[in-house]
Amino acid sequence: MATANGEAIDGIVKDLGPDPGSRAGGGTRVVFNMSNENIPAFCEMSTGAGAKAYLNAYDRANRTPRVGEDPPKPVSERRRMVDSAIEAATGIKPEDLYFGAVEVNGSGMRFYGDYSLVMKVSRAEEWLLDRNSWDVARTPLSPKTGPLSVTQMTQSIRAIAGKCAEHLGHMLVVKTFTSMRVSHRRLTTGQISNAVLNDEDYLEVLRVGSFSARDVAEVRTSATEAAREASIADRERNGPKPSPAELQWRERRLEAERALGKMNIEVRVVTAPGRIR
Amino acid sequence: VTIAWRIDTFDARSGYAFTSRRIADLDSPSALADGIDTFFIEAPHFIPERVSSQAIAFGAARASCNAPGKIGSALREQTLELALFAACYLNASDVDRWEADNFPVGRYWHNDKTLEKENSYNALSALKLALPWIRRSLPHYAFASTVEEAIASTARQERQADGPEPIIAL
Repeated sequence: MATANGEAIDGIVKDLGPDPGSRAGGGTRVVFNMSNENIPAFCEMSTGAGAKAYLNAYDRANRTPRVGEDPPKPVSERRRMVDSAIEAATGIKPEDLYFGAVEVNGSGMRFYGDYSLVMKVSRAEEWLLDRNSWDVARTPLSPKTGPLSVTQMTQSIRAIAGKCAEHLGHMLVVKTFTSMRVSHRRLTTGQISNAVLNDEDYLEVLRVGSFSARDVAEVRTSATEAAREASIADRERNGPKPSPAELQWRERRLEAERALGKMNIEVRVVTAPGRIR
Repeated sequence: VTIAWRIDTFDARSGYAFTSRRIADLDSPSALADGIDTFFIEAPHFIPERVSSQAIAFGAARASCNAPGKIGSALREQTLELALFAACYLNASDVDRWEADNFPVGRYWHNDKTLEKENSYNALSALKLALPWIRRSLPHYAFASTVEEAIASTARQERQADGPEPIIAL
């Protein structure tokens, strides 16, 4: 049964649809989560050829301050160390590095945004890590005592890195089999999907280069967030009155979806991974 | 070395913050020691949720969240950041539609344009304006008492500096 379950995971990675060249629902995707607040600006910055709408920490260090903050700070020393280790292991320059996640049919990493941007294409040559790259700066992957070193981090990155085309299937098999009991029963797509991205636990995608709304196939949001939004709207009509924060949050979600609509990007409500499922 | 609830990363406009109970200096290894409690807070309800590791918090700084640091230079206690974070979320939009009592901070920080123009906002004053809302809306904060202590401390300093009248009635 383990072999059959391994093949089922491989099928999800290959994501073959019913027609030649088509994709099935429930295949692996590369996703980037974004908050409702940032979606309109992302869409606005997506116009024009070669638009660079999604910004990383290095891009942001050069932008104007946001409300309530001091002028942007340079990228932290610890982050630079992690990025240097990634560069040493993969050859990707820190300034070109954008971090996504592997997702199947859920709504991505909710901690990083209530909207999950699903990429049209996952590149075969893309690098993956089997966990959050920050883990190499934390125990048990980092030394318990003494200073952090790029050399040691590089070794850790090499131990958890792979290429999308060659290693994604293997990484997902290991991740699935270590997070759920491999029994005498077949794993379902939903069970595998939950193992791929569950709560805080995910596979990190090291994308080279930014992207714009034109690279986005669809946007997903969780059923929990959609229900919360509907509840706020209902209470605004019928009471009890929602708080200002709730009203503002809902208004921003509406603005985000209007902006995505102008870009002809569909927003789908799906199940959420982790604790708010 | 004061251990307190401090923000690891935040995006005030999006309403996201990660906070942990640690010393102020994030470059110190002890600020990243194992077993440090870390919580995720998000709009619109600002209810702290425990997360397993600070790694998830620092990961947020790679995209929309800001690197650790003080929200406003006028803050005298870093713990004030936690309450101010929630207030920041509310002030970052058009607030005219809200009743003034429900939305005190908005009167002070109206929008980005005002901030850029004046570049002289005072975070502590904004927090004072926001206090009634914070107390009413965030009673469930795990670190509420720490925030209250910081506010009380600030109030004492204000009284000593400005005279006998308390600026904040606690």
